[in-house]
Amino acid sequence: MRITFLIGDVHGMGGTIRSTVSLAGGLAQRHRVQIVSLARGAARPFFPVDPRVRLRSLTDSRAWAGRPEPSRRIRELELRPATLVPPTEARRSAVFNAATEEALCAFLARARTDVVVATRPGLNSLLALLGSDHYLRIGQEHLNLRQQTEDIRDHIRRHHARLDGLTVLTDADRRDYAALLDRPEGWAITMPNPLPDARYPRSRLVNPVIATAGRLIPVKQYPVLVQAFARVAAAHPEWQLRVYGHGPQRGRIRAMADELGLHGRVVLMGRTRDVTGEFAKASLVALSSRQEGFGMTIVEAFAVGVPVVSFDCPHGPRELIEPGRDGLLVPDQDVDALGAGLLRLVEDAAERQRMGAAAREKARRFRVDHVVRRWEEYLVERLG
Amino acid sequence: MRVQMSRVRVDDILELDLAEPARTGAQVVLRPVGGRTAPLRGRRMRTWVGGRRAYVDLRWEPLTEGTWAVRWSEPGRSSRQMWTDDPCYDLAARREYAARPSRREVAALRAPDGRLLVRVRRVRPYAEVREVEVRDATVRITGFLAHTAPPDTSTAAELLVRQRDRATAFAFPAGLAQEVFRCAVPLPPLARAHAHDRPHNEWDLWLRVPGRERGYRLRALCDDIVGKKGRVAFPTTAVRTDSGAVDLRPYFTAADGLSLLGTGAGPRPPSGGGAED
Repeated sequence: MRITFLIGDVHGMGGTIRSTVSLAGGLAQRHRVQIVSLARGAARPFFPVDPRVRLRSLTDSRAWAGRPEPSRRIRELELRPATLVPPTEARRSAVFNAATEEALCAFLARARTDVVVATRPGLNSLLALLGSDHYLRIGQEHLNLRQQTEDIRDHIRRHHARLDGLTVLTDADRRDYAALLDRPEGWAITMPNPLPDARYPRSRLVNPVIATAGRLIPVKQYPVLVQAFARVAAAHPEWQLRVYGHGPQRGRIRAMADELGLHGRVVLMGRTRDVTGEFAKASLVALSSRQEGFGMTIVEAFAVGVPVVSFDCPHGPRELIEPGRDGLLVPDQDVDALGAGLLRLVEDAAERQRMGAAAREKARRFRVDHVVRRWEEYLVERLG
Repeated sequence: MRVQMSRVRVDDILELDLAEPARTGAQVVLRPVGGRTAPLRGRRMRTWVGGRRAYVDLRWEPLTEGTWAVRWSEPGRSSRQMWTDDPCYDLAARREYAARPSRREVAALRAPDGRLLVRVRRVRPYAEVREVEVRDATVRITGFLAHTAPPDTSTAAELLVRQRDRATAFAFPAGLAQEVFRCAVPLPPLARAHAHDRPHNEWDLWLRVPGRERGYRLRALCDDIVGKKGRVAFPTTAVRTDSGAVDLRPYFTAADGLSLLGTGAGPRPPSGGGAED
């Protein structure tokens, strides 16, 4: 099968990029796979890409300092807004403009492939409106429907039913899509993000470290996690909260740590290429998000045998964590309960060990070979 | 060969839990990675093997400084890389290791791809910082002497606070019980000595132990966070002086030394909010 992934920019860093790179690498074992970026933003991808996967970029991003000099026409076009994507989506992602829209239109008209998989709502819209029926057109939802703004939901309602299929990350989201779009059973499918194929370490669960990882953005609510961690810090001064990632909320997290006297105990580690390696040094992983598309952080923690404590927020954590078995789910947005959950596992090393073993076992079902098999079955069925 | 546990004990024995039983006569070979001056050939290490457990003697072999790939060699077969499931990080064990006198540190490491490595490096005695607390215009620090023997009895040590690139220095009392030290730095004297002609005044911290020729620089090296500057931050205390307000805060230097940073905060602020000189 010839499979094409459409992505904003594969050279960046983020959950969608990471899972696309992993999935493409897995599929490349038996298929011809390419990842097509709408706008290239760097010389090399942040995540290592399987050499069997072909990389292609339709344009060079304005944000890339090292980009080749574009033509005058391109420079003019890229200042004009995209017309086929919802306004909020165009504002969220700098890859959408008239130049990229035109380049994608040309690409989709001529693409010699069996399947095109788009990876965000704007790309799903463009694939639905500009794609050809010479290939299977599959959309992907990497967040969830409820996280999308009204204009994006309206776009989905009006255009995305033209796609040949849609993958979502959770069953809850699949039900939401089924209620919104009148499509036959099996059109949308729950497809988890894959765990990249790698040798994962196993945490000893002995270090006084609680870890978390993600972009430092409001939806992750890391200042709230710092508040919850204060309860652990008060009772166990050795314990440390490590936050991996970067983003605009860094100052707010630091300010909350200072306000609560947790300087030295809250460490802003910056971003890392080896999230699982860092999680393996921790004894707990914590999530404080307002909402999650999936919760890849949870799967990564499980891969190295670390239990997770999370808010029961929509949608991912509830479908990944079995409370009391491989982690704890606490009432959504209840900061005291999050602190109490962390404290419980900090103080009970035996429970951590038991949960860590169950977590590692569960992570097997997210291995890339399992997910690839599900993709193959789905694509074969849709092609049929 | 895959190992489930890999650690270097305080007596420099590498302990390995093997994923499969070892064959008779198996041995660990260390092969240098990187570095142009390292010898190209691997070194066969004294190895004791029993079932799924192996012990490798890293005490006496003249391993040069650097990083070594750990390989598994069995009779009649060429050696193969060892892979570890162990993250090779145990903070308590690292502190225990650092608390003993030594000029050389041997550590097991896990590369991001899972390869088992051994790192050998020369170390110098220093004062490992465990906790820093900023309260009431005073910085309180606890820690322990690393890579050196503690004094025979509890003793009154001194914390030397030395202004970088200047001759000014203060000495404050520090307690030393075995290897554990505790000290406090009152900030007002530092604020009064602030050189307002410089945008920043850095004060480096050293522990001085009676009878020891050299002081011990305060550093935080035991954990796995290399480069704490910008990752770990401490609050600022504003101290008023006759020549203007001075903001002071602890910080980690690029080499993970603990220092204090003074910044002239301009003219004297209105009363309230800052610490009184």
